[in-house]
Amino acid sequence: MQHNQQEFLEIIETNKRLIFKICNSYCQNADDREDLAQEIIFQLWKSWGSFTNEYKLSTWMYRIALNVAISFYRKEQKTTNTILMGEEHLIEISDDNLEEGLEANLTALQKFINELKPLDKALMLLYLEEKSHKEMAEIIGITSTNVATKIGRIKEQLKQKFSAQH
Amino acid sequence: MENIEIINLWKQYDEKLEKSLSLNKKIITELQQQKAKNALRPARNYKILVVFIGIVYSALVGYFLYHLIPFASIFVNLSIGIHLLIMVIAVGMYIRQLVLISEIDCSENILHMQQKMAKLQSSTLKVIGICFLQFPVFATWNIRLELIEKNPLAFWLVQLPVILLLTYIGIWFYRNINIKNMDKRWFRMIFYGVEWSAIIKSGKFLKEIENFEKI
Repeated sequence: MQHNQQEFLEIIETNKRLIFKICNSYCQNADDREDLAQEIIFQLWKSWGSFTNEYKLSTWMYRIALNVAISFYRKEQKTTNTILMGEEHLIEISDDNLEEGLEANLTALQKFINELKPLDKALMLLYLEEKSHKEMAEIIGITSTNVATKIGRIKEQLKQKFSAQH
Repeated sequence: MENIEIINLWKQYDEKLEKSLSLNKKIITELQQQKAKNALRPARNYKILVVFIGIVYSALVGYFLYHLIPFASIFVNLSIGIHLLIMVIAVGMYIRQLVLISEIDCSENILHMQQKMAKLQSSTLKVIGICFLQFPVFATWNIRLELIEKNPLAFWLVQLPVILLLTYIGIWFYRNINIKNMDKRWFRMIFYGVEWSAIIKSGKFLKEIENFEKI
């Protein structure tokens, strides 16, 4: 169990950016983001014992993280039983100006992602993480052809958005 | 902006995060020790409470009916029997929802899991629809054969049309209380308020999933 716990901690550490990017795309508010991150890690831990090699680790992680994020996004009352440790937070960002320092194009890209519907948002995040169409299909639950069509449409929207800005 | 530029932009963001982002291990360890944190827990607790109240209520009605059968008219017995049957079906449906909640697995593919969740939420409407089927019993329990013989016109011209009207209303609601009608005015008037908005939203999300599945 101890070994399992340690292994899990390492996996979370390796994939912390993935968790943060998903939380950031589905929650605008910092408190919600913190709550969602805790919920994702809790659900990953809950499923960790039953993880098999049937799918890739990344497929398993994305499925859980995105499922929890979409469910959280749809919830009326967002706040659940977040663990609070004084001033400590699960998500800690050392650079306070992380968002401010970003290039204008990246800010525009994030704004575009935030405006997408929850399922399109999941697809867009997977595309940006350079997942193959096959893996995206396995995570989302649609065919690879459907993935290709939808990604094409989203990219077209994105192109229009950027060209309208410049 | 070209696709490759967008991907590179995202990589640049990822690099920035790598340098500045950290997760508090103390909180992760705390999360690993938790057993009860679950997003579905409030919904499950509410349903357990409804099932408990439903079982107690049905048991009381059943007990009352059992002792009433020898004394009451067939119409009273039949009306209470129908009411009890519908309550038992509704409780059964809630128990089924609890089983479905326990079967929800976050590691399933997104469409499958989200569809299950949204269907689960909107299935509460089916329970309400079933409850409407007992409408006519409010007009059947007081039928008395002696009164029909004494005053047949009152029965045929007043009571029977009322029973038929309530039956029609009950069946109409049973058939029409569903997600497909959620945009209709009458539906919004009945299911108005915060407690229903989650169910309405889940219905909308089911439509969104259906559209998403289409190429």
